[in-house]
Amino acid sequence: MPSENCVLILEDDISTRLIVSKSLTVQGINSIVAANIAEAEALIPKHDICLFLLDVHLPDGDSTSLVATLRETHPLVPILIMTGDYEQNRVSEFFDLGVRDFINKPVHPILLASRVSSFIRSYATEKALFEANEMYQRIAHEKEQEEALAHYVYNHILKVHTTKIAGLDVAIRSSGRFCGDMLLSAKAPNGSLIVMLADATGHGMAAALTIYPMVSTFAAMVSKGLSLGAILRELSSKHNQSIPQNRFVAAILLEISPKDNSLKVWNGGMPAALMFDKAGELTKVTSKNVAIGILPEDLISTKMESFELSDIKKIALFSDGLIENKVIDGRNIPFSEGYDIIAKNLDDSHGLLSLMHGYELFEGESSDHDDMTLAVLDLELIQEELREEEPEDLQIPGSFDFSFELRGSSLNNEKFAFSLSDLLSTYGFNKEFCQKVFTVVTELLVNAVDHGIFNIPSNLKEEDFITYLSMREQKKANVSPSDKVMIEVKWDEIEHTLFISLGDSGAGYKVENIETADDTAAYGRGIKLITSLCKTFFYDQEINTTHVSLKY
Amino acid sequence: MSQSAVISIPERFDFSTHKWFTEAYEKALNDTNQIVLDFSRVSYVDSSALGMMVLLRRKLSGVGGKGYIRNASGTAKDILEMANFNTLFEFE
Repeated sequence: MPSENCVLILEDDISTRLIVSKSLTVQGINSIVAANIAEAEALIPKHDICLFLLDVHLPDGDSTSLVATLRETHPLVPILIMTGDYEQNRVSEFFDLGVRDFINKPVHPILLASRVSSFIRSYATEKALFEANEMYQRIAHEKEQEEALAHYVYNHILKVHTTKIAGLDVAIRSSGRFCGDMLLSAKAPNGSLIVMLADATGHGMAAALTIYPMVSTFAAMVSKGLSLGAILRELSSKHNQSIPQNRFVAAILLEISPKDNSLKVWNGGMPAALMFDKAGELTKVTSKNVAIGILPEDLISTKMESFELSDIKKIALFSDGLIENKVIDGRNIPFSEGYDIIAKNLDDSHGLLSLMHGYELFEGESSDHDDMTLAVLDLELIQEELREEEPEDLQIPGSFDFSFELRGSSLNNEKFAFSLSDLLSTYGFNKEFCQKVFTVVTELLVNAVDHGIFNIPSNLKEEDFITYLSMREQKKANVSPSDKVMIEVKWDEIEHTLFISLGDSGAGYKVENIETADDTAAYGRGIKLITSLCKTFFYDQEINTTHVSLKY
Repeated sequence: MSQSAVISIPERFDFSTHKWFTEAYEKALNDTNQIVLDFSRVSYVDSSALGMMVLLRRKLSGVGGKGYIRNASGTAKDILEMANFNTLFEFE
């Protein structure tokens, strides 16, 4: 059986061998013995040896060759040489080979055992240290690899989700490899530009990781054409789902909409945005909300501050790293002063970052700087750039013609209008147009089903909503298989017009009755809505079919 | 003035929303007479939504309150404007 942590004794003299092994046993040290080099070489691979105790001259040779081999195979295990007086001249040769110490013969049992045991202890310490160092090296290597991966993803995400646009000048100064600030911008399908500056709690990889989920959500929501308020809710929801509760993201969101001549701002926990009008007058758009992640998404306020875009020349957004903890001549500067410095130096954003960095307060030895990001938006340039992108591509290649006939219970499908508008969007019609089609088809269908087929008087909705509902439910349950609605949807590529016809098996309606309804009535708005959304409206009483057209 | 309640309306504001919407505003009216309708997510509107809003507006008038429309955009905004809802609700 192999011995654990034993000493190998290589000695050809039987009495010395016995004395040595006995003295070690007394000290509680295990040993194995060999009388020549060959025996030793056979034993070594089979045991876990913690110290070699070697004689010099052996029947099958000199132990120097064995020492040289052992330095290769057991680099840390101490080797002690037992020597007689006549061998003292070889001491330096052995030291050069890596021998730790010498024991003079004849051996003194107690002295020998204490020395051996002392070397075994220091070997254990050295071994532990060596292993700890190896582990450290491995961890450091793993960390390096993980960071490299995270950094790659970080850069990739930024590259993919940021739209470069003239007039948006961004300067970033990060305290480390990862920046906990992120500036994102993306063009919305309606021609607006959405910009977000987000700053996560803390810095480094943890802060960057906190922002990741928001980045892809931001880009996806903007391209879907969501409004700024809806984007904010989605960001908040994504954050709450994927990030621990003690991590927040302060953010400023902007929507620059040349179409509505509006600039909308939502500031949650960021320093004020500095806004300059055309006369150079400065307005600070301060934070009126808490950072994302503090409130559940249904409680987050989506109230925006709205400004007339044509009045504004420039707006600057920055993270708190640019303004917090700044000292000039030993004096902590208040935010108001910080804002003044920033407002005066916006023309050179990189210079401004260096200037503010120079004012940074060093607390003790710590050089823990917060990340700094500054974005300056030249609104005239941005509007020009956004305008250049127009006109929107309105080409819908080809023509199509769909007919639907809904009979019996299939009339109760409340998702029909929505699915039809969704189908149109797959042909490339823009969202706004699909929304209009949804409203028009819904109104035509409700009109045909509620009034034409179910025969519910339209004023009932107004006078007794509960009765209206129960009547509708009852009629829905008893719909006859012969009740039907026919819908035709036709796209004419040449006229660039969508034609919709809808007829029903009911008794028909009188157009003039409905047109007289006023704004404060809760009913009779349907046909009015249709006529205002459509280019043409025609009701053919003879075949009880309504024909409308929408120009695209 | 009591604090306003915010009702966040879903993407489709149509007949299928009426039960949810009516419950939401009745609940809100227990605590306040100021109701904000958050249109941030709304893309699709029909006339029954307008009808429901008129009913809400009446309830609000009955308790001396006021209604607000927040973040309406695109076609939803066009429809609200076309229906002259700026006379019934305040656009924030």
